[in-house]
Amino acid sequence: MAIGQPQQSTTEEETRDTILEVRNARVQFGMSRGQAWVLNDVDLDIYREEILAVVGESGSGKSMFASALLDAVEDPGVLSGDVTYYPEDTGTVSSDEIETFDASGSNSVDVLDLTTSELDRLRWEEISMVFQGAMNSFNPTMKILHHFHETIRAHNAVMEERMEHVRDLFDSLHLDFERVMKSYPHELSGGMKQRALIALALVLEPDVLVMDEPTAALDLLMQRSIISMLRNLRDEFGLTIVFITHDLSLVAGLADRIGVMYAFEFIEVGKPASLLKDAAHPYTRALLRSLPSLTSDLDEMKPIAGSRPDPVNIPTGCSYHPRCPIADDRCEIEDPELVDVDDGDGDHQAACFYTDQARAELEYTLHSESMEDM
Amino acid sequence: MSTETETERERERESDDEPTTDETVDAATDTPEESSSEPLLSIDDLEVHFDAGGLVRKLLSDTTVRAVDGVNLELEEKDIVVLVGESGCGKTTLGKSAVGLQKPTGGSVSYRGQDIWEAKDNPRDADVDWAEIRRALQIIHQDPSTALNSSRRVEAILSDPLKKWRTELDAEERKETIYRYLEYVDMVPAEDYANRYPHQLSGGEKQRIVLGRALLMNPDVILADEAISALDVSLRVEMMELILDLQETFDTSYLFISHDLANARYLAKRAGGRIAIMYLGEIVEIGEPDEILKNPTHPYTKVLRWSTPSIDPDIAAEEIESQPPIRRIDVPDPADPPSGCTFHTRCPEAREACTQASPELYDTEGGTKASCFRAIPNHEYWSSPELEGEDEIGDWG
Repeated sequence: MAIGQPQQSTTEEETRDTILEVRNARVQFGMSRGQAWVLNDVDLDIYREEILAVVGESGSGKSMFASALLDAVEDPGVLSGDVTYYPEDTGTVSSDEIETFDASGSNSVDVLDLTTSELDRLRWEEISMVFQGAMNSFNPTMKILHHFHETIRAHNAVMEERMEHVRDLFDSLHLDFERVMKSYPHELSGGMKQRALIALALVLEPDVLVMDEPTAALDLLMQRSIISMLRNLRDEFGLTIVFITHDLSLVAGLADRIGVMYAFEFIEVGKPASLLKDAAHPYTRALLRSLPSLTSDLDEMKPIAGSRPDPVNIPTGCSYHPRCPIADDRCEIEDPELVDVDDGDGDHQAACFYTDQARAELEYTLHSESMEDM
Repeated sequence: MSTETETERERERESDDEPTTDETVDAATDTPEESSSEPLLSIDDLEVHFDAGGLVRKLLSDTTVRAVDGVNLELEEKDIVVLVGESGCGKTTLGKSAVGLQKPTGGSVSYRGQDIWEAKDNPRDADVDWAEIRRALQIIHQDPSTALNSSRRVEAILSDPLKKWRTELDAEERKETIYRYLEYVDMVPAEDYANRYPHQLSGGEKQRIVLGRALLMNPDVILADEAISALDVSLRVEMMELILDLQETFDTSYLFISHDLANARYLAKRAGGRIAIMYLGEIVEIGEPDEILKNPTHPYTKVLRWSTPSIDPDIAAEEIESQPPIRRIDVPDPADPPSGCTFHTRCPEAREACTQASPELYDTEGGTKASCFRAIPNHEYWSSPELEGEDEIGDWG
């Protein structure tokens, strides 16, 4: 996508308080077939204390986006661009650590500029991450309590104070502190391990929690339950949550904003109410039409035609144009930027030249049958 | 699909059928097709119990895990039943027993009236022989990547079942058949795909090869174990549609395993099939998808419905504030299932009566069959005291 930075100069004055600012983030891999782009000039602001859901199919670049936020892109991937972290101004527990990141005094951290040891601190104390299937990352020979102690010691934090915080976290996650702490990982169910891991990620009170498919390996009931708990965690601890998933319906009720990724960039960003009810991008509309729910009209369901783009050979212009039913010559040449749709209040943006046409011609229904109270 | 291709496929199917029918006639004195009263597949009081403990644990306590515990299910020609449940509920074990991959410890599985394990153990007395049964009952696994030999080309992978089951075909005919089946599963141009290795295929393409390989055996029943879970969401509808199309073409019956109620609804509704909800080794509710979803009787079915998120942002926002209709999130230890109704420890409606006796599958007002006393208006359940003090939703551990 072409680089448009109209908001960059005004970031500070915006009413919405930005905690993470991503600009021109790109990740490329050298492959035998050529250069592969797995993150393609992504610009996005993440607001303080919001829950941002990043939704995309496999190979859309959503996990790469998560890794980029923590400068955790693995070799041989090369990350370029800017990721800026704005810690809170008020004197919190972590304010001492912030100074170590930034001696110049300005209240921002250039994430991609940090040394390895600074990154280690950022990753636990400011921005923490929970990966898919990470519940299996507990050491099987160590009790859960040991994992917490080890993490707290490694960061020279005050043990009693941190463990007090962990008790609060366990309460919010509906975990029995005594029972879980004295258990070995294999003695806990998958859902309990995953919740314990979320608590571990939050032990040093980071401001941002990045979660990559955190519930994908769990049963539906546990999945739904964890989703509800995340809302409470955010409210109680003032967290900013970035929730990466392939499942749009999972985040319809959870997210404050949803960002849809296609071909390694965001093609639509908006609040669930407007993005789901009246999506502006042809891809989002096609995606919504392909998702069966308990109430969807089955005759209206349709898979998305065509196949996903090859990272070595991303289509020119709009990367969705080969699959898009309303694409024309302009779409083949020119790459649309994310621009405001609707009343232009910045709440809903889409990267498409023809959003009005998409909305008029590409139909989908969220549901047709009503279901009595769940 | 044009009418022309339809008839063409139909014709090809006929010719495909011939050798198989001959085989069947050879093997069985009375043709299975004639005994129309027999269901295609009949599962009667099926039990699969595993011994979970080592010697010491065995001496100390009963460690038997009742993976499947008294299941009855019949599958007709061109039928679809979708088994839905949480992990560990026994749906895969039930599925594997149904297609002869897991020997039951009790009860029976019959294919066209022939007990399949009898056919294996006492081949002389069998009307339908074991090899024929194994051909008729096929399986598709969840992960297509591990189901295909990565060092062989698609054509080689697909020629195996033909070499075993269609010995009359020469190399050229085999090739033609393989190409034709690749076209059935929408892998066009077939020649191109036939020459590829599995790693040169996407996940969806691999799953279609696996489906094509199962169909090459001309099976009567395919067990599809989470066959679409590994696919991207936008591809799932496509795969389900393909399965439904091929069901039309080949008259195959499916036993489909899924943890996702929305996909279960899609398949069962499109195919006019049923959804069976499993809990701790038992089918607790079974019926047509609309009945199961709109008028469920079993409290566990309601839990699964609550667990399935809504895409409508208004409904979803309400749902996220709601409490699950269950008293405990975690499933009890299957080696030590609760007394009476096995769901009573989590059931928000449970009463004393539920701890005493185990309900059978009863006809319900909603049109389903459910194993819950609440389906019976004058059952002693209604006068039985409610369970006290066990409301533990505050502690989800």
